[in-house]
Amino acid sequence: MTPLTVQLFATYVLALTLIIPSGVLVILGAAMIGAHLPSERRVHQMLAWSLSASVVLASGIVVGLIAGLIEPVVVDLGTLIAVRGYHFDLSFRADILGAVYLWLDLALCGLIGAFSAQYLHQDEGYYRFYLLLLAFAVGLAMIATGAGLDLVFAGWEIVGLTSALLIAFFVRRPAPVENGLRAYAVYRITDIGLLLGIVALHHHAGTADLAALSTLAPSAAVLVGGLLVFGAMGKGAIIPFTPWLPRAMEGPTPSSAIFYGALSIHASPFLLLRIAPVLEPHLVLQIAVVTLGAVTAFHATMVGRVQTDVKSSLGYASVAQVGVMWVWIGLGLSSLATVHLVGHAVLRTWQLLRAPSLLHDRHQLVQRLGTDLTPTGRIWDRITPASFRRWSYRIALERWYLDDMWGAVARTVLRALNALDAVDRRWANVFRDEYPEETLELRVEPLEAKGR
Amino acid sequence: MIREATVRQLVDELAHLLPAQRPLEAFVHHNTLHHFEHLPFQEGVEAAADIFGAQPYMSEASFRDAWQNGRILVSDLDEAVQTQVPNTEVRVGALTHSLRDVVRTWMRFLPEGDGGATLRWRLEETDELARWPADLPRGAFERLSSAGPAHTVQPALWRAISRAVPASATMTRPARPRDAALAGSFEDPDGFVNPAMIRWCGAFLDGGHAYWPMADRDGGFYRAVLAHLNATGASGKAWMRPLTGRAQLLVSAGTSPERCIAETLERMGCPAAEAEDLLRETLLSLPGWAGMFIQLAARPDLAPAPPPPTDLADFVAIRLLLDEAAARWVMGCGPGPIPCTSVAVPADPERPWILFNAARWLGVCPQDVSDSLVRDLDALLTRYDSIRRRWIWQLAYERRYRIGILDSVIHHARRVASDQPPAAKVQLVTCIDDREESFRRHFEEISPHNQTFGLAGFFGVTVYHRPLGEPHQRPLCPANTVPKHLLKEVPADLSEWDRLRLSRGRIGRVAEALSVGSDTLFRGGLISLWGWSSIVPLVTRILAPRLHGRTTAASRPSPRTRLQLEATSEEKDHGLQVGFSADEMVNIVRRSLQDMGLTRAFAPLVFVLGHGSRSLNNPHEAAHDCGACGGGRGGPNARAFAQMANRPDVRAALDQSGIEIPSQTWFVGGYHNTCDGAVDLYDLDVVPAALGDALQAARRDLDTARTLDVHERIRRFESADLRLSPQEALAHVETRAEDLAQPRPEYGHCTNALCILGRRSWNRGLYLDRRAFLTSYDPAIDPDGLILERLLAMVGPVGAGINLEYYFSFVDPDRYGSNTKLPHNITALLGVMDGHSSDLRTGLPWQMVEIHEPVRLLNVIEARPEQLLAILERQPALRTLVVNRWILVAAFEPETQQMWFFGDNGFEPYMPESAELPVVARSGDWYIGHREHLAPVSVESGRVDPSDGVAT
Repeated sequence: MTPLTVQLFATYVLALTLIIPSGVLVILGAAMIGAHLPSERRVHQMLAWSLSASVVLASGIVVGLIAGLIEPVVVDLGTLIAVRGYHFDLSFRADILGAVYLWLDLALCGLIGAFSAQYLHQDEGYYRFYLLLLAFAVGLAMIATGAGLDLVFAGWEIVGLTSALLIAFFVRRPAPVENGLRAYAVYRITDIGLLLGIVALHHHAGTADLAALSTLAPSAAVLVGGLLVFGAMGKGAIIPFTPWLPRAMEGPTPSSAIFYGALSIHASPFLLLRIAPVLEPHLVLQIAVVTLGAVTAFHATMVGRVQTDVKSSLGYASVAQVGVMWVWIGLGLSSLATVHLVGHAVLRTWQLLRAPSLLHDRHQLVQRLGTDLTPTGRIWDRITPASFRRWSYRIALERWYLDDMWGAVARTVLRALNALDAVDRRWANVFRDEYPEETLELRVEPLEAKGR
Repeated sequence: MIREATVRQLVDELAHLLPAQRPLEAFVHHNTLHHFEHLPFQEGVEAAADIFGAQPYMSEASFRDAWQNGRILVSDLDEAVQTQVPNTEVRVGALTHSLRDVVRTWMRFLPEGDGGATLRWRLEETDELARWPADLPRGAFERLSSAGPAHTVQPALWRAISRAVPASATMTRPARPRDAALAGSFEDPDGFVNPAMIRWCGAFLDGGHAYWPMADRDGGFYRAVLAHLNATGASGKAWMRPLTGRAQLLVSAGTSPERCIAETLERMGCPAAEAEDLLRETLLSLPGWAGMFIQLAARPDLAPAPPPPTDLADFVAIRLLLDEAAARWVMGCGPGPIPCTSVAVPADPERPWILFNAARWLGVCPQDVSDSLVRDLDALLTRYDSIRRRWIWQLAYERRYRIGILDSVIHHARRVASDQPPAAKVQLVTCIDDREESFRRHFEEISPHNQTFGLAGFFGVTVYHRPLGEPHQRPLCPANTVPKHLLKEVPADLSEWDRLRLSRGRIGRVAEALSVGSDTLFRGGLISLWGWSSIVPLVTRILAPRLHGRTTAASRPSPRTRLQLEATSEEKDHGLQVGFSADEMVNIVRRSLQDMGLTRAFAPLVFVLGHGSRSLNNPHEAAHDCGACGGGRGGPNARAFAQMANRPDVRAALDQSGIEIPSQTWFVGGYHNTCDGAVDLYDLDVVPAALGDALQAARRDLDTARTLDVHERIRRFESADLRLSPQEALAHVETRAEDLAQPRPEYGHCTNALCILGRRSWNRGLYLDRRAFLTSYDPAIDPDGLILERLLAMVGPVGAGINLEYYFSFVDPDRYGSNTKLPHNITALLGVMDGHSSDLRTGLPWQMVEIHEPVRLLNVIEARPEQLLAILERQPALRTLVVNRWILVAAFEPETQQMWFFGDNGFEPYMPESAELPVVARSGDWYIGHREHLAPVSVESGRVDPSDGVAT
């Protein structure tokens, strides 16, 4: 085959890789809307086969790219929207980074799908789980391979939504729903950065294509880069947004594993790797990324060390490593960050899936050692005074009061909304008095809490 | 101010309301409502339901399903109604009904409430009132339809009734400041206090998970938290700021926790008379964590690491400090009592709807409705409310199971009465566990020469056991016993063990470095650079669990060991005597043999099998282990027992007391894994050579029996194909045990419902569907009933504990159980939380109980009623259980097939309802192809031919 036909072939392979899971997602969604539920077995087979097929195809692309047999693969499925100067292209591009992340996404989602067939067997949310898992896989594939930032943003939103819905998976208890909402709120706040970054990129470059990033003028680049970095903070639980992450451990164990151990949280460093061309030439952005990463890593490792439950400690351990990846990226060590990202994602998935075996594994470890585990953290007893230890322990246990800070912010916002609500009611009453015969059925539910 | 002594007394009393669940690794079943056993069952569960806001019985819908499926028959319902409802007539509107008919009609048809919003929608948006309900009884239908068409009569009736229902509201006084805050629609103070308490409790009680443990724990929770509060100047939590000053005062004044509680109550403005209510509600806000304080104080030896001193008063003192601060903050009230005025609780919005239906199903027409009718109806419906009706249902539900069992026991005993048992070639002793019922049955089906016995699975060997190479010992004996002996494993081959220990240690140190290091910053970074290698176990564990399990097991050889059985001089270890003296061994063996009635006719081979269950990704793993071993694995007990019984000196001493064990008889200890079905035998190398062939044959039988046992068991798993062959079934359970994704490795005691105590001869061959505890007992060697007494005193509470824990976790998985496993998160190595921060969830997870039938344990005991009554008089704990009906008891005399059931009026003769019991050739003929619970049946295979006494 000539290089040209190989390249063309690769294009079809990438297209198939993306289309297969999307197609299955549409079929499954339609079946659920139409209330024609397939059997549990059928659903997980659909997911397993489609993702396995995609993984095989994606492996081909990864190998081809690494071996240098093909150039980055581009698939153009046309333009979705074109309004005056703006056009939203369904254009995908798999370079090595994108292809590797795509492969990781498909492989881990496939494994989690296989795992969950037993784990969620007979759960009332079985179908919901699979639908969300597949939607997540597709959303992440868009992030991995989107050629333009607007496509990445669309994937970003799908990932955020499925994440929040899976945190709130157990809808009959209030805590999961509340924590799902918290995560979603953080996502939305930081999404503003991503969205404004895309708008700014459009404004300055006339397109949202990632390739345009390197063509920006320095001042525009700092603005766009800064906004995008802010946009990447939410999903990576970068400080001060960290508190949502431990709270996200409310869903079934496999969803915690894939979202907060593996893929969703690493979308943050992945986005940074994608926009590396605007970061690298600008010291201010690099300093920002390194600082945020370093502080996050320090915060997470400090707080993680006092956690007594297995999922929170794994969650903080994950954030700490994501912080380190930010540092690598800020320092321009993209390849190191990529290796770190892949290794860490796989490791944490494995650890989180095993989390319910903690007692079993620990017992086995003690059996092998023939002694108790070595006490940890003793070195600090020797080198720090007790009062400092006590102080820092409390700070760590209180998670640097970040939760309380966000609580205060939320309460302020709520107060403002309450004030607006009162104004609204007053105006509504004015109208009601003016048109008495019209029944203005005002169904404003009072805000649940008065707060302070 | 309340006195400190009063506070202490209150706290100690209220402690009984807290769940008595031990740390997960020492999980043992217990009656969730143990504290209510002094009340009759019905009163107890209803009182508890009131206090805990829980369900006492299954929902009415579940009972109606059981009725639809034929699980409850007309005769059951009739009898239950007869015992619970007087035979009188009531006049409702224009019609006169029998009260029993009224109750029966409501039980079957009265809709359950489904929330005001749904109701409004149904009335406004559907044509619910325009058509007659399909299941309206004939009399009611005729009367109503004579008044007009459905779309006029029913809306008129609804309007008339909803107008007539008084909208009364009751006034209640909030118990806690938090309730007052909620009543005033402020933010929920528990939203602030609970996370803080959960975090601190976790940190304080942690058994070694956190990398950085909490300091200052030796002084108890109260002092540790006060020190913690003092650690920083001002708190970052606005609501907690006032506490810093308070904590300093408390520390400097050396205030005791009791005094601190009294002071806080005083500051809150809680009158002494209401202190108990407030403290109770305070404790019940996080009952799981509070309960763990008591458990760790009672049995520190069961904690994963030596726990700090845990006192419930510490917990309460801190909780109240936080409660006060949080309530003041959300309500914005300064010093002085926290306003805590009575609030109106609105009447049930669904009451009119329920009354409307109650009237509709009795054929009340709109024109009949008057205030007095509604009042009468309301009173009647209050008397026979949902809980009362469900109790009647419960009685009917239990009755059907009971009749089925008692009848088949009688018929089966009659059928086999004249069988002459042949000499046994192999005897098998297992735990009384319901999971061993099918294993024993299949073993007996193979040959009439195979005999089995059931004995509580610690086999009388009360020990701490320390496996070879492990640093800790754990108790293997019933939950409430503290052993005095240590059973140590020693290497059989020192040089082999030395090699193994070295390589194990090396692997262990690497594994430790990886598992601890991966959570830290720098080591974690280095490890995760290589983390992609985890893809290998990830893939194999998920896609080929059985293969993965086999490979890892093969790479982990276990050493050959011996038990250090004999006490040598005065060797003490942790204050325990290592091994047993000769006299102690004789006593253990004699007592156990007498207990199970194995004192003569010994077979050449006697297998003694302990049991346990190994599974992955299952925090409740220990709940599947042996209850008689306190949630441990009973292999070592069986092994020790067999070794003791094989000793010449023990046998010589037994001879003296009339138990002659023939010299060629050999006891073999073993271990039955009820999850993957494996049976391992110990010390086969010392079995006398003369028994070689017999051993071979017996092992084949054991293998067949365990395979068929597994085959019978997997029919209950929804994910196992009903057509699997026995060999495939074995592979299936082996996969289950190794599957990381499997939330139901086995069903444990699920479906338990029965306990039989007596000789095996009359129930051998009776198919009991793995639902029966089988305790062997021979009245022939127990003329004065002493053996029976000690068996009952042991088996009664254990069986009740298991059965009732399943009952409660099933009827209310939220309050009594720990609901679905899927979000469980192990914390402090002690228990599980739901997700990231919750109370410690106690009780059984839903995946363990989902196929259970909540019935009280039915005990069928081979004894005369008067003998049992005499025992009950001597055993008050047992008496409480029986007289208050937490367990049901029947006395049975197999020779005459007479049965007496212990009812409300004591023992009364029982007459079977059915005429006969079906017979099948083998168990498989009965269970193959079925998922559901199966009725008893007589199994022919393995039976002695009654005509000539020769084996078939």
